[in-house]
This record gives sequence, structure tokens and C-alpha cells, in this order.
Amino acid sequence: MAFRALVTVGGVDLPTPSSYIGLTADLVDAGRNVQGVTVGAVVRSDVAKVEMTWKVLTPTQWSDIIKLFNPTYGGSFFQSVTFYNQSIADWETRTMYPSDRTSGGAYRVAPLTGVPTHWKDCSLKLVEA
Amino acid sequence: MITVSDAWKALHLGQLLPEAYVEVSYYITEPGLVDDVTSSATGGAAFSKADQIKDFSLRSEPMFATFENNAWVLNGKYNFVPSPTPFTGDVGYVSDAVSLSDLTFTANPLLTLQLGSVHAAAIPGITITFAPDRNEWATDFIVRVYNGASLLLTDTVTGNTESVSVRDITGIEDYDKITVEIVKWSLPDRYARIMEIALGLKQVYTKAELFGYEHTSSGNLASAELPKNSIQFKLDNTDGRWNPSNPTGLEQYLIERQTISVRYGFKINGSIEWVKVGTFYMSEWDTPSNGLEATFTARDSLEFMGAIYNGTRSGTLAAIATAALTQAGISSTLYSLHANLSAITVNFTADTTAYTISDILQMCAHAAECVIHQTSTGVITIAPLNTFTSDYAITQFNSFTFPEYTLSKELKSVSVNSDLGTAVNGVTGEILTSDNPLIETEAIANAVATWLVGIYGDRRVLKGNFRPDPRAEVYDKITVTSKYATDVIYLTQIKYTFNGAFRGEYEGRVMA
Repeated sequence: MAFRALVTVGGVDLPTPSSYIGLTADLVDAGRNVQGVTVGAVVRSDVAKVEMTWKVLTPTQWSDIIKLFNPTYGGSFFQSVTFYNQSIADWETRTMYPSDRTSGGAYRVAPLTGVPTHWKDCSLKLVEA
Repeated sequence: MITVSDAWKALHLGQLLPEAYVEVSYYITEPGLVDDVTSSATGGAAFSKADQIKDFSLRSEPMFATFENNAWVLNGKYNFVPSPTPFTGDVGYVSDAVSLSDLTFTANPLLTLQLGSVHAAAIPGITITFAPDRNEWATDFIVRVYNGASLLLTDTVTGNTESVSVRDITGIEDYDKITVEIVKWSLPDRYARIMEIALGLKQVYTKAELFGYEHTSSGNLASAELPKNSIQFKLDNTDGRWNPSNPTGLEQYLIERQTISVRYGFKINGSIEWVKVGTFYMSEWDTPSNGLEATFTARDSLEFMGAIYNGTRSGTLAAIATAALTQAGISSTLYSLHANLSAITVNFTADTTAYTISDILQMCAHAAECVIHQTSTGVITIAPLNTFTSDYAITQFNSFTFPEYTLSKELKSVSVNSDLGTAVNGVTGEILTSDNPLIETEAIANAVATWLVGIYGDRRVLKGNFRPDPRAEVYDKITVTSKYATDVIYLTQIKYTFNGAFRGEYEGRVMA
């Protein structure tokens, strides 16, 4: 069986993350009744979110990921994301949007030019639209 | 109270409700057009009702068991055609011959919508509902538009894959006939079925498209004013489709009184149970040029009865109300009058006051000790208040706040038509006066006065917020449990807000 990327965004495989957190949420409109008991109504079930971090990425790798969500570079804020869904123990494709794309700073800098050669602690969260 | 299944009622007793749905079906067409249409078809089955397909009834197919190949699934949802035929319920058009193995028909079914006169007003297309309950459709069909014998335009469709086909056709104007010819069906060995052909575009907005939805209704237990029933919904306008300056947008087709049908649903055991909530008519819209949302307000038919009444001024209240409703363009199938109205005869020909149609209906209802409301199926009903307490209750479990009590002024007595009739409630308080030119005798005036004491004798009015079951309607008699007591009230105001789930506000009057 061929190796399959954990997460694919718009048909582009992401590098294997150092950590991968799957999250399944139910949106519920809830309130406490006059007895103090929570009563509610489901607004939407099974909303997916994935959180990924990479200990180290090259600037090009990280830039390529960020550009996937930037229309200037051919990306899109809403993307078709194929991810390993914890709810069904299989890959599934859903429309998702990204949170802030953050990195923890330069892990290593070229000593002569000052150009970062690696980023550390890059993080990306994708939330189902 | 809207009729729902026991499963629907049971789930509202639970702590967590399943997913709820609102569906707003909006017909962009010429108002009143459907009343001028006669529909017919070639080659229908014995139980086929081609005359039904012209309306916007959101009908569900009764799912008759037939011997079509692989069609009759033994899942308990199929019924035999009732005897004797012809079947009188909702069924729409069903062909009398099945499709062949190549999906064609020996003789193509042809459905005709004939208008009574040439209609100059343009409509933006037509919407054909094939058989969504069976997930079947015509893959190939031809729409033709005529003016007399002249063929104005032809829309040939091939490869359709939708059970509800919205055909955006430019140029349907100055026409008096539209035909739909079915060429190929989606499956072999099946009857061709059409539930509905709507002249105009039927836009269906679900919770995926609605940015907001509110349903507000109110009523007066003494028919002192007409009930109000309206919806307001917001739609996405980021693509400018409702922009007034968009030459290809839909705003150009917005006309007052266009029909809007609303359904509510809950997911029960894996499928959605839908209930019709009502038929409304476009009243106002706000589609700012640079707005991201377009807001629409629609009201029930009682809002459009402001014309001066010109019908008979003598006869039974039923005859007068019928004249008023007929003048308002309400067909006899869309109103229901209680026998109380037939038992009272009046003559107010000497009264030359210019009353509106709504004034007349309100006065008829008041004189007959009735209330007016439009049912969820769109029928204007004038009848006494329901005396049965509903099985639905607002309890401490589904209340977000305890009911708030207010007291109306103490009622001493009621005087109808300057003491023509009176009824006493107590020794102190205010005297309620009521003037109605359709109350002419002392006996009726006394009866109405006694009726009003029954309504206003108890001073308590309750209101609160709750997690609603949206089957509850104004004038329903329900129980409300407060911190110390359980009261029986008639709902006089109710508001449902839907933002993915229903929230509700209610107001009602305690009646002794």
C-alpha cells in the first residue's frame, strides 16, 4: 500500500506533521432552563477541525503551505481538504478554512547571509466551513 | 396546533433536540398567474391528477404501490391506490405507460398549461418538479411557449439529473400556453411523474442559504383586530443577485404578493419530518446596492385586504364574509366559515360608512363570537376559539425564563353598541365598550358581551422565552407552568427565531 499524506489541501500533500490533533465538534444552541438544567438543540453535527504542527520546515515548505490559502498565489481561503478523520478512521474530504498560520521563528540561519534556512514550530489549524 | 407525528412530539420532551430545518420556497412569478392556468395532460393513469400540477402546494407523493420494475420496496411506505378511482387526494400527473428499456416512451407524455388570456408580464422561467420522493426525473424534455398557435420559444433539455428542474428561460412574455413534453425518463420501466409545474422560478432556501429567519404571529381573542402573521428572512447577496442595479439579477422580478411557502423540519430517525407552516405573500424587501444581505418580509393574505368593501350589506354574516373574501380574490377552497356566521342575519344597508374588506371580516367574526386566522395550509378560517387544551405544554423544562405575569385593568362590565347588550363581571373596574354595526339585536349584543367577559374577566397575561416546538400557533390553548402554578392560556403572540435552532417568545391570556 502506497504511503498517503495525512492531510492534502487542494490536491497538494502537506509534509507529515510532527503532531496532528483531530477534533470533532457538535454545534449546539443551548441554554439553562428555569430548573437550571441545560436544554439545547443541535445546530450542526460532526464539524471537523485538524491542528498540525511541524517542529522544523524549510522556508520553502512553509511558504508553499501558506500560499495554498492565498488567492494571490493561486490558493483559496476555503479549500478542499482531505484529512484522516478520527470519526470514521479513514480519509475524508471536506471544505475547510485556515486559522492564523504561525511559526516559532528561525530555527537556523545561514551564517554569511542571515537568511533563515529552517523555521521551527510551524502551526496550522484547519476548520470545517 | 400543526399536526405532527408522535415521534416529533416525543423528541421535544428530550434534553437535546436533533437538528432542525427551515425551508423557504419562493415563487418568482406574476402574482395571481396560477389562478388563470388550467393544466391537462395526454395519457394519464387512472389515478393521475394532471389538473393539480399547476399549483405550488409542495405536495408529497402518496407513494402508491405499482408493478413498475424494482419500484415497490417493502419498507412500509407504499400504499395501494384507494378504491374507487379516480383518486381524489394529491398525486399530480402519472403517465399511463412506462418508459421503455432505452428510457423513451412509445408516446411522449405531453403536459399543457393553458392560460385564460395572453399574459404580457414576463416570468423568468419555469420550475418542474418530477418525482423527488422517488428520486426520479425526466432526463430529456422539451418546454414550448406559445401565443395562440404561434410557437414563441423552445427550451430543449437533455441530460437532466435533477428531480426538481429550474429552467431559467429568458423571454417568456406575451404568452398563453406552455407545454412540457417528456422524451426520456431517468429509469426504464417507470411511469413518468410530474408533481408540479410552477410558472416562474421556484427558489428553495434552506438553512444553508438563510442568514436569518423570524416568524412572528399575533392574534386578538375578541377579534378586536385582525391577526398578523409574517416571516422575515435574510439571504446571501454577496454575488449581487438581489442588487437592484444588476441587470441580470433577480430583483427585477420582485413583485408584491408573490407566493412564499414555508416548512419546518426535524431530523427524526435519520430522515427529516417536514410540516407546512403557512403560505405567505411577499410584502417588503430591502436589497441595498452594496449590501451583503437581502432582507425579505412576507405576510399572510389577511394583510392584503385593505380595499373598500363593495359587497352585499344584508344577509347572513356568512354571506357577507363570503362576499368580502370573494372580493379579495380568495377562492372558496381557501376559506372556511363556522356555522355561527350562518345563524346571524343582519341588514346594515343604511350604514354608508366605507369599510375595508378586513373591517368586514373582523366585524363578522366579532359578531359571531369567532376569531380569524389563516391555517398552516393557507385556509382563512373564521371559527370560535378551540376549547380543547392541546397536548403541548410550556413547562419549567422548556422555559428559559419563568413566565412573566402582567395584569390588565380590572373589568367591571362590558357594554356592546351603547348598552344594546351588557354583561357584568364585578363591582369595580373599567367598563369595556365594543361597537360593531353588524350587531343589531339585543340578544346577540348580550351574547357578545358575555363572550367578552369570558375573555377579559381574568386579568392575567403571561409571556416568556422558551425552547419551542414550532408546531404551536396563535390561538392554541395550552398549559404554562410558572414557579407556583399551572395556567391554561390561549396564545396571543408567538415569535420563532431560527439561527440554526429555534428559539421562541410567547404571550398568552389566561381564560377562566
